[in-house]
Amino acid sequence: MHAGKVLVSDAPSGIIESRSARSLDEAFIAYLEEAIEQQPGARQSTVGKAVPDERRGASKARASLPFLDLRRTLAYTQRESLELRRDPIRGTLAILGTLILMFVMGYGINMDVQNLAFAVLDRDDTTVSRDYALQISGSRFFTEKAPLRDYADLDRRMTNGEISLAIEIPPGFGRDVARGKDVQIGAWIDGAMPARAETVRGYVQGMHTNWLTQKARERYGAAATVGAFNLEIRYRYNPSIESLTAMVPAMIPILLLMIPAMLAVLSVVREKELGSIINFYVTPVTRMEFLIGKQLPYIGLAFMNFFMLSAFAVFAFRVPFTGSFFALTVAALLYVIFTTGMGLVISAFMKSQIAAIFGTSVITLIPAVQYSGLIDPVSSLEGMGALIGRLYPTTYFVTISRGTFSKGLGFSDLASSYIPLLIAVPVIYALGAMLLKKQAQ
Amino acid sequence: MRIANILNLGIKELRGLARDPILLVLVAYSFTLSIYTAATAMPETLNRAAIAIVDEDHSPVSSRIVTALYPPFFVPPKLITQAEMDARMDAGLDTFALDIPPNFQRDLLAGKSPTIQLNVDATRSAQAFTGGGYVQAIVSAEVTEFLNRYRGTTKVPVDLALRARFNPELNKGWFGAISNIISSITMLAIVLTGAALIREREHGTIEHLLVMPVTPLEIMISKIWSMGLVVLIASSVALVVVVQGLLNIPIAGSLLLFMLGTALMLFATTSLGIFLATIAGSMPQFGLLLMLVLLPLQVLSGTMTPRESMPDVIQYLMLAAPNTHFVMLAQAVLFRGAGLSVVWPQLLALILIGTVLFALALRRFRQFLR
Repeated sequence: MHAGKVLVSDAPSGIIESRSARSLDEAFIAYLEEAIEQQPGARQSTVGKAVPDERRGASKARASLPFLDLRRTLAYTQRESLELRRDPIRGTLAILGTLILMFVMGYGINMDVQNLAFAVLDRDDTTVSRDYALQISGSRFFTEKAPLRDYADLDRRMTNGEISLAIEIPPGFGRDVARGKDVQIGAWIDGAMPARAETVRGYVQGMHTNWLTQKARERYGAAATVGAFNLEIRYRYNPSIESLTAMVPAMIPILLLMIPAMLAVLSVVREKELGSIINFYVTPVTRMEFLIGKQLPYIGLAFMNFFMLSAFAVFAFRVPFTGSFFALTVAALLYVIFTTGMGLVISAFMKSQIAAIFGTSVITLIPAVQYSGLIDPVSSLEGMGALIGRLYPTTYFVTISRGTFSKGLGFSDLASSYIPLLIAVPVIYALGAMLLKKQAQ
Repeated sequence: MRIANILNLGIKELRGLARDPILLVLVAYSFTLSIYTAATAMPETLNRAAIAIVDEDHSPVSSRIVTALYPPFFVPPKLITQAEMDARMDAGLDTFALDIPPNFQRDLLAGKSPTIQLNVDATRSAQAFTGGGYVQAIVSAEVTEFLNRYRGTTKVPVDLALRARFNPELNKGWFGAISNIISSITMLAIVLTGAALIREREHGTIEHLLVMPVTPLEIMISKIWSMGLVVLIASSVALVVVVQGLLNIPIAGSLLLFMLGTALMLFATTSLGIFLATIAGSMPQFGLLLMLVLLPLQVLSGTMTPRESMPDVIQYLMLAAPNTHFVMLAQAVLFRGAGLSVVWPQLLALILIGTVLFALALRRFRQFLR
């Protein structure tokens, strides 16, 4: 220490060695002499040896200019990574937890609707009506339950959620079909869960049309078999319509948002609550040095998580990777800088850890799961949700992740999705610097 | 166990909450604005789907198809060229691209059954799967109608009358609002009790409790009733003011029954919160545990995708989560108007899960206090 400046900080043996002195005293004197020698130089700000250069940065930073002193930044990095390293449970949770979540959600979210319970109210009970019911129960989408006796039975079983589809075949159905008279089959769908109901509706309509074509073929022969035209559906990027292929690339952005944000969110507010924030208030460290220094270890951890998740997706889930991995990696780096940065911004703003944890769950969980295109594309959202979806960087990383995983794309194709990520990073730093105060209020 | 102690300790918790304005704002947000946004943002399954058409035919029938795809199901279709199609789909601009081949109308009238190609971006799961069916139905209807003017019909006259019960227009907002209330309930119940407990330990105020003549059971019950009450009030306000009032969503069943379910759900989730807090040593660990628990509860309880289509293992595992039963109960009571006779198994399950979690939490809590 000389004139209020720390000259060196190391283990005693390291200090002795660095000045090739015999004892600590000698090394101390050597440092002091060096500092005194350089002082006039520094004052006249003549750029000389390497040391004054660094020191000028420090003195500028003290005048609260947003200049980054690497040493002070890294000191905070070291402090934060030590905290992380000495809490192995937290590190393990962050890594293992991410993998477990990926595993559970990858298998759990399935857009394919299967094994839906349905029952038939057959008031006709002829071969034709049974043929109609068979058509439905034969498909893999539906499982037939005991037939319905009457409307009361239908009401009861639908209300308690036992069946999600009820088919009513009117009396005289077989006869009317044979005579070519107009008949109507009734289908009731449980609308309590609209997404499922919509799918059921599609399936039922499809099967009804199928049955009609089949009947027409039986009755009118070849005249009806020539379909007027064909509609060939090509499911691009995911030809076998695998749910995993669709969901896993979109899960990575969500996990890379929630876990890193939750890791980083307590780093500042915890110091506020426990009191050690005073170190920040009374030392020359600037706000940016403090924020970036604290952020670096979390970026590192999150980035490691990213590689693990990608490996897990490709090797465990066997999701084909077709695009440029480099492009995805660059996007992931930008994205984790944003997500950990967001944690820090919340942390800088909040006063209590509870509020910080709660705030993070509110800000990450719902927007990421509902508005970033995981299930409904952002273009189809409305109102506030659409606005959130467009602003939230997760949306763009979902696009990049799906693009590189399934569509075989690289940088040039996805350029428009990188821009929001590139904007998000400085915005989050500016917010952090704005919200973090150098003085308690 | 003394009731007065429990009451006073609970009031202490409420005071603590009242003095954290940011926390109050967040509670208010998650039960009002968040729910309103979710309900109004959720499109019906096929809403404003982005579609582009490559019209290589330029015939009356192809223009019929183009004009048949309109809002609200689709955004007005963009007419593009074949070369643009791949690039636009790669960039994710279109979910669907319909390719009408040259001489489509000629071949159609000649009975050569020409082929229209529909390209679907299958990475956009929900919209891709249901939307494909819609496009197919719309195109078929247009082509058939066009043909009917030239040819007699050869169809079997059986009509399918499809009706959706409990939510006739299949408005996703109804369900979106309720599923958001459920996730807010879970999130708040766990955070408020769990984090409050850890804060007491980190600040050392738990020592104050330990030197007072109160038992761990009393402390725990006081935390459960006070935070449970806050969330219960907030969720009833959300249901009555936001869901019924602002969003005009009809509620079929008894609100009281739903509240009973909510109270039981809160009993389970607040116990879970305390349990998690006793496992996590510090706030940072608690935060991570929270994510680990909340995300599966939110995604796998049956609010996002139907339970039936999940793998069996996950279905069984999720039966242990209070959310799964609460979602079933909420659906049955609020939409299908079910009564106690229908939802008693769910109520029973919630009581059971709640009791187990409470007992586990109490055991860990006693050790935690030492």
